Amino acid sequence: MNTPHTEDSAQPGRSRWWAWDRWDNALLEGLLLIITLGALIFGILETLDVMTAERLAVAAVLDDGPTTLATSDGDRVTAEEVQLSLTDPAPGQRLLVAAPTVLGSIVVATVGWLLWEVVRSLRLGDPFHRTNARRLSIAAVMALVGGMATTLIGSLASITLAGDAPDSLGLATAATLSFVPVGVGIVLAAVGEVFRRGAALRDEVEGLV
Amino acid sequence: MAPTDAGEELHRVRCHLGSLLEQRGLTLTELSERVGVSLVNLSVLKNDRARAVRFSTLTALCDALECQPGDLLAVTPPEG
Repeated sequence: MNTPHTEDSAQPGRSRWWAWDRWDNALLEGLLLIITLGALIFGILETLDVMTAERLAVAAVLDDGPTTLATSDGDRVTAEEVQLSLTDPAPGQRLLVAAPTVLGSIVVATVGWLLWEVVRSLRLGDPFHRTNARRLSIAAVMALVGGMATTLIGSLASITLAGDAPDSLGLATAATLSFVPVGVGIVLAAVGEVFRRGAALRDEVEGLV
Repeated sequence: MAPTDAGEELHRVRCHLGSLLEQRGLTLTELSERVGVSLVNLSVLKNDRARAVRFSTLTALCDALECQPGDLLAVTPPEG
């Protein structure tokens, strides 16, 4: 019987150095686990810090954009954003500061965990199934919606906290959105579609000997 | 007919690999080594759970068992 000839079979025992192997898989799995656990730990520690700190720093943006200011010795400096310092903040203020961090940690940890499951299935030898397609779809939605929500909540929290500051500071009252989560979500959704079609092809050849 | 998980019958092909192995005095493991097809896939074929067979697999099996495709596979008459 003629077996298919491949480069690898022509020189048994010698694999291409750039080919994906179990070490690459292990490295990626480890990286995703670190990201997942790191996000969770960071979220917890940051939240505890916010809840217990005597002073909290809140970033706020100037409404008119970069503003040139004159210093006392005649130099001119350009300010783009200011740092507000809340002394002995109220519980509500602490929650507002912590909210984006908590939500962001949950989003990153969830997406990291789902991607870890997909990469783990690569190692187990059977990645193209509907479960992986579903995981990637969920990750896409989490990244897109959760990511956008995190940036929006962060922006709204800054506006709310800066609301107590004097109007003369000219702080921004409009929320800003980042579209990076949209890009990440779209890429994950596209990869999810690849896996969905791969699962369909796999179903077609199931039982083929 | 071979049933699917959904209960829908797809085909009426039956595989006589078990009887051929018995006649030739071969085990499935020995056949797997001779034809270069995994034991898992040969077991799928032997137990009528296969849905398709590659011509290369069919050729290798017929060579190893010294038979023709009609000796290995047969279509059963429709029920009813």
